[in-house]
Amino acid sequence: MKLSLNNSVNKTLSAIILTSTVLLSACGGSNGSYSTTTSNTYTWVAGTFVDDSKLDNLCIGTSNGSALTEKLWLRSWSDDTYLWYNEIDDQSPAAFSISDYFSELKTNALTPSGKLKDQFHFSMSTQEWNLLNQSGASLGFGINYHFQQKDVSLAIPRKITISYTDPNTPASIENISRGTIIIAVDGVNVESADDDTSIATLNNGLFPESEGQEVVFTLQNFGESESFDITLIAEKVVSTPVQHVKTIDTDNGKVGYLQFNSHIATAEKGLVDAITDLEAENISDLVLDLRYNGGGLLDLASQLGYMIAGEATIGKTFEKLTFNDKYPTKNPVTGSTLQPSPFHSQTIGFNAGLLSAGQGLPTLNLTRLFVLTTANTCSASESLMNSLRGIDIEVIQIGETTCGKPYGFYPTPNCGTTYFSVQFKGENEQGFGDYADGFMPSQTPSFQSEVQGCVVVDDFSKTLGDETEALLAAALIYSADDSRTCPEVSANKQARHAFIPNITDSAFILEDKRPQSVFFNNRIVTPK
Amino acid sequence: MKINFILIGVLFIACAVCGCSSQAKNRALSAVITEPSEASNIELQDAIASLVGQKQILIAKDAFTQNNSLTIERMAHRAQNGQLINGRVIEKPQLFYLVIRDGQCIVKNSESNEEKILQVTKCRVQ
Repeated sequence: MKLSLNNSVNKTLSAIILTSTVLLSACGGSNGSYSTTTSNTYTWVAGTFVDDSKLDNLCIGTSNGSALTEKLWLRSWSDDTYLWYNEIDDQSPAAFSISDYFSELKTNALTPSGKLKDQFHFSMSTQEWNLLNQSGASLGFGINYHFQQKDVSLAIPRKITISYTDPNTPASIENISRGTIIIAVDGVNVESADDDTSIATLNNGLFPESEGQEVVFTLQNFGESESFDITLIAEKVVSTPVQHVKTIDTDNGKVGYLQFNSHIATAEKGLVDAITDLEAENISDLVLDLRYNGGGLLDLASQLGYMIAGEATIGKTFEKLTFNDKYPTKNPVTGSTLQPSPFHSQTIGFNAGLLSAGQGLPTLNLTRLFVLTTANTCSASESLMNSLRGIDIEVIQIGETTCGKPYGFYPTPNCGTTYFSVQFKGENEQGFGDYADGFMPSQTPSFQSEVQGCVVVDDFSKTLGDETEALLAAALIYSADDSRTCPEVSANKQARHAFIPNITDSAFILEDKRPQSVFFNNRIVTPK
Repeated sequence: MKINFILIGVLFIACAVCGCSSQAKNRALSAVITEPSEASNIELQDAIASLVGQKQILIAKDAFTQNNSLTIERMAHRAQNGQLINGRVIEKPQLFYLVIRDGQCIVKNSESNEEKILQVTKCRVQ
């Protein structure tokens, strides 16, 4: 469905030279019957914009559209709703293809740390965007990969490590554990692969396209030197977004732990069950492991906020969306008046057969929360952190800097392509939403995007939820007393900015091109 | 005259019972799949894909075997760096139910109430 953009009334229609030739010819003499032919021509004039609704679906290859009208639609739509519309360099579209022109319609401004402010400018075919699947279902082995990019200048080799496996999948049935290194796939060495054929073999094995596909993995358990082969058969697997729920006895009481991997629909039941159990255990602290949680349903983040902080969330803002200054009070896409969204205190019933809507959620009523993070902690996960900080819940961050995505968009189709252009920013109760460089753990936070906590690098030597795993261990040490002690291992490390792979050559990228993908589309490059 | 009243009464009761019986017969009850198979999985995928206007959709083999509902979401598209393209989802997932009516397994869209009869799939009342 095409999203209509309302109230673009201030646009200067004269901006685009509109040549309308209306030919009226009488048919049938004096009987008053006419046929009408209309021919419109749109051209680019710097600084002036026609209402994008007039350019909707004027597509190349149709009688009334062209590449130019598609580009002009992108330009007008961006000028209307792009969050940083006034930072776009208004270039003539003549020299660009449609997709290249879209790439130009963004800000090139940098964040305080020096990275691009807008790294979230995408497009894909609408047909692909509209693909659906069962919540959490995919084709594969139940393995979640961690890719290390090859960097010749820093002598860093390409490496694929298994970050975790989902239960009841081919990988977990074979007892393949976190930290296992994938040495080779179907005989192709991961580290040394440097030609098209080898990369294709790796891609094909890591991201199988058909059920029953057999893939030979050469694996090496963490810390061991011997490798071994194992054959896995691809099948439909369903992820388990909430795992390893447990309590840990400490001198200061019970500490709860849960691994939350994805804000997908089936997580609602998992989270409610987990919090119900932890509430019954009367825990005094919670360690929420978001290190691989890249976001998803914002409503789930809002619910989890309530389940953590309870009464403190009543009447408070979970998040308020802010758009560009043309729309200070109105959502430009839906047309609705901008209103803060609250913390949800009831079930939504995403899967009503498992959990019906309208039930009161359990809550831990905590005043502080430990979150475990990496650069994969993103979007809705960051929103949860920000919203809790906004109501003065003490959020203590252990791990690495998060991805830094306080922004969102309404995916908008035109002429068979769906465009993703940043349209809004999420702000918390205190109006804060400027964390484009990610949330950074710091023992001495001085900026709002710095969060009290410890820098600790992801520890693949232990299973998630293991009390000796570096991030969880650091949280337990930190929570043990009021001295806010970070482990020595992190003392000399600085908070790092979100990891953005240095992709320099698309010819040697490992990627998941399958339409049913729920795996990371991580790509690995072989620098020339 | 008295006999007429009795006849009318009997007729009324008979119709009422008939109506109740007919109503019960046509009532859709929550169901689960009893004998999941490759064929039933393909049929289920095709049925739901048809209900959402897609060519194909990925459904796990154990769908509807434990409970009568199934949630469908947009696939998780990711950027080159592995991050979700849309990590802040406002759109509500779609919910489907499996019901049994007149001995037929039926998959139903909870929003539109559109449904598809499953021919191969075997199910029972949950």
